[in-house]
Amino acid sequence: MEILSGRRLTILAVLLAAGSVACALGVAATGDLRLPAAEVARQGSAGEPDRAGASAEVALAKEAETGGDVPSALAHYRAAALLDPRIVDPRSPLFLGPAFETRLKTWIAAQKRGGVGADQVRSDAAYLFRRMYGGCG
Amino acid sequence: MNWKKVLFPESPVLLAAAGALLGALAVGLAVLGNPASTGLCASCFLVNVAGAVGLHARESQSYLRPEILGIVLGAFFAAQSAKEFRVRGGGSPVRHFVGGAFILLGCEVFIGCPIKALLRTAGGGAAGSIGLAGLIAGVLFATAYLRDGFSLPAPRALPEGAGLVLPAAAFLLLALASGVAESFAASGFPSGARHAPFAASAAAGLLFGAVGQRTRFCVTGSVRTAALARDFREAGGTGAFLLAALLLNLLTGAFTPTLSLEPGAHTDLLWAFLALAMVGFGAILVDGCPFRQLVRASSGDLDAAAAVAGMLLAAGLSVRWGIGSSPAGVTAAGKVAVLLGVAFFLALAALKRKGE
Repeated sequence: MEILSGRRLTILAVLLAAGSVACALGVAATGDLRLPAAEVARQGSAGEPDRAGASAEVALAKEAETGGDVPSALAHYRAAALLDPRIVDPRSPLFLGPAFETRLKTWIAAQKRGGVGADQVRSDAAYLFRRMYGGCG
Repeated sequence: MNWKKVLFPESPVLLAAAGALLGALAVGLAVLGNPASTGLCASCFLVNVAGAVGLHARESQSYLRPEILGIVLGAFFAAQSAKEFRVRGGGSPVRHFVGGAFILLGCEVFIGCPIKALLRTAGGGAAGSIGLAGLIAGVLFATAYLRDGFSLPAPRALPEGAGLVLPAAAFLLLALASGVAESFAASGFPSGARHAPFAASAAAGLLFGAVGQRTRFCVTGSVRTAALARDFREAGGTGAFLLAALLLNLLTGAFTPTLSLEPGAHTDLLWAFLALAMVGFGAILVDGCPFRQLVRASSGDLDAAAAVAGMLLAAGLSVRWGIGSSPAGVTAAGKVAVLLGVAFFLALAALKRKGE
């Protein structure tokens, strides 16, 4: 006789189901469960993308980039992409352009070589890269 | 060539060859313009179709995918030619509808269906591999309930006309989208999603559907059969799919082992695992992953059609309610959807066993 069978399986299912519902309630109570979730709304699912906010962030990013502050530039580019993802969508007229794509790849390559190593910088660059290619659409 | 063996494939070699063909086609579509690792993804494509028919408003995820319409028609014609088109239903349409919806939501939290989990793994994505591991874990857990007598009510035979609705709708939409009514299609269907050329997508979709129908290709089903019956022929087809995609990715330079740079993915490994574990568990209980449900629905199974309807509705809600993940990560709504899906399928598993 298997260990997982009969009543034991039923009890396990009930316990796990109760745990799942409790966790779901926990996430709902503590997480950001506005519909749609805040970040997704900024990405344009229900609310409109914040084009002006994104432009302001891009301007700050370019300023930081000109000053040689790549970590700050990446943080601002990420903030801009969250406000309006079209800036990192090569299909969009608002796309930051192939030159930006090339610079992003250069920064990522530099991080891989250990040139720029902070976790946040890696995270920002990787986010922009993942956002630029692929997904469900 | 023995055509009977080709039309009714049962040998490990033929099933593996079919899996490899599907894997190669999927990689080919990504090379031709589909999003990375999305040459074949039933859940992503359903989200795109949902956007095209107005169930959500995010244009970048909207496109009347010829692959989906092709899958429906390919499976329909394959079932007809093999005299396997049998209209049946009424067994458990509501459970299939709700189950299909939760499966789709789980896929969207992971960002991809079980087939895309194979493609993401073949592309070198760590999150894809973790999701695939979760899928297998979910399927293996579900087999414990199957061994213990889980089953849904058997469907009964129904009038043939009901089974023709889905293929007829697919034919009509494919005709509209292909230019029979070009102006209507252009104005009627948003199409902002990345995509391969229409003809290539439609042709590949027909092959996906036909081959999928003849070989019963199903990632979750192949793991279940291997675990329950020690029959590894279907798993060989799934393995061949993965291997073919991996080899082609290596040849084209698309293979990049990475955690953080996987295109279009998020890096939340726990939720990638849990989401596809829920999908694997649920897919076994309602007898098929999204791709398999499409194929079964096109072969006359109206319970599977209910699952497809649930998936399509969930595809729209996934975007509207912010359930689907993005490269930024998993949303709170997505986590709640996965947890509620787990609870739903566990309750289903506990309640629908002999003697319970």
